[in-house]
Order: sequence, then structure tokens, then C-alpha cells
Amino acid sequence: MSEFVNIPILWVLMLSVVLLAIGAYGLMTRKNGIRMLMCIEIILNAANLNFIAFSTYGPLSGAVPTSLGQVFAFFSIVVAAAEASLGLALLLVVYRHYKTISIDKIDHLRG
Amino acid sequence: MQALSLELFLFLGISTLTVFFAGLIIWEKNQVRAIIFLTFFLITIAGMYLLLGAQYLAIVQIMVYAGGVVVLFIFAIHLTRSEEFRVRGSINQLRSLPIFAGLLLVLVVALSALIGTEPSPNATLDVPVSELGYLLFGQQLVSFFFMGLILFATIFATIYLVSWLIEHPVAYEMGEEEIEELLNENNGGLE
Repeated sequence: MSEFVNIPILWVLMLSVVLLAIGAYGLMTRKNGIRMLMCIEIILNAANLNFIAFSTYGPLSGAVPTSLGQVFAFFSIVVAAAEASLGLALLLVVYRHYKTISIDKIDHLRG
Repeated sequence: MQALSLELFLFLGISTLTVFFAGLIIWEKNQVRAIIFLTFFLITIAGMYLLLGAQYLAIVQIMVYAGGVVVLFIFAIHLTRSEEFRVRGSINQLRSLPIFAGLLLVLVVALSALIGTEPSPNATLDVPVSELGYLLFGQQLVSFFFMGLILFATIFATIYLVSWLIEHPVAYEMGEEEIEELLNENNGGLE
């Protein structure tokens, strides 16, 4: 394997956009709370892929390339893990209260 | 035009698998199977990180996502009742418009990436982990501490949310009105 990346960056961005579109479609059409959280995971992974791609391909000008994008992808993974745990805990509380996790039926904002 | 090198071949294969599994996560009716496909999807994303030269993040991806988040999802599914597979809104409206919007988005990104400047050729594949460590604990130290704060707040909030259920195990068999009575007695434990 050579030292440089042989994949055009356009292809990686295309993959990221397709994943984003699939995740957004699922987020808008599915009514199960857990399924919606899975779609959020797809979207977050598409964003992370963009971070990694731009980190690997380096800056546009002749500036010194750093791997700062990987650090931000790391932060993004941490936030995604926190979001998943908190979202699933919220879904458990919602399920105990409403006996369902269907988003359409949880429509009144009372305690 | 570039020849189809090994990396391009791998990229095409992995990206096809990634899109395939992402579609299956949405269209699979069984929720537990959807979680299995989510695991496969996360592993293929880790393979994409490896292909792009981010080895450390590939390991983090498999450890955090495929190891931790997936187990959380499985527990959440086992603790809630599985629902029927249904689509919100009318089907006809939802078939064409999102596909059109997604294709438009792909077109816009493709055009902007083609018109924009080409990235510099100094893309490197061998980033040592030590460089990441210097960035994480040097330049980005404040962000790192904020991540710790976010994780602490998340753990605190999760324990607070679930502790109400542990303190009131009767709430498992209660109806909505009984839970409201319990809440009123306790001056609103859930708020």
C-alpha cells in the first residue's frame, strides 16, 4: 500500500451523502423510538466519515497537515455514545409512563 | 482516468456493503435483526476508517459503537414492547419526494466537490497515535475536559431518570391514571 490515498475524495463524500439521506429518510418515516435512534446513529456516522475524509486528505493550501479531524471525529463518537445512552433511558421512562414507544402516541407534554 | 487499484476496489466493495446495511436497518421488520444489521453497518464504517488511514478511530468505533451502543440498544428493545412495522403518513407521498430530495442532495455535493479546488496531494495514511495524543491532551485539552463534563452529566441524568423506576417498581404494572396519582403523591418525582 502506498503512502498516499488513491481514493478520490468525491467518492467518500458521495457515500457520506447517501448515508445521510438514508438516515434522514428513516428518521422522518419510522415511528418507533428505537428505530429513530438507530437512524440518528447512521446520520452521525455519515458526519464522522466526512471528518475522517477531510482529515486524511489534508488542507487545501500548503499548510501543515494535521490529524485534527480525527480528534473531532473522536469527540463526535463520544457525544453519539452519550446521546444513545440518554435517549434510550428516556425511551424506557416514556415506555413505563405511556406503555408504548410509538412517537405518534406520545403527543401531550405532561409530567 | 485512474485504473481500478486495490484500494478503489476495496472502497467500492465496502461502500456497497455500508449502503446495503444502512438500508436494511430501516427496512428490516424485526427489530433485533435491525440491530444486528446496525452492528454490521458500524463494522463496515470502521473498515472505511481503516481504508482512509484512521486506524485508531477504527478501533474506537468497534469498541464504543459495536461493543457498547449496540448492547444498549438490545437492552432497550428487551425492556420495551416491540411494535408493529408501520410508516408514518401516506405511502404514496413518501415514495417519490424523499428519493428526489436525496438525489438532489447527492447532485449538489457532487457539483460542489467537482467545481471546488482539489485537495492537496499530501494526504497521508500513516498518522501515528502519538500525534493524536498530543492534539487531544495539548491543543484540544479544553474540548477534552468538556467531553468529560458531557459524559458526567449524561451519566448523572441517566441514573436520575432510571432511578425513579427503581424506586417505584409498582409502576411496571400501573396504568396511566395510577402513575399520575403516584406522581401527585410524591410531588412530581419525574419532573
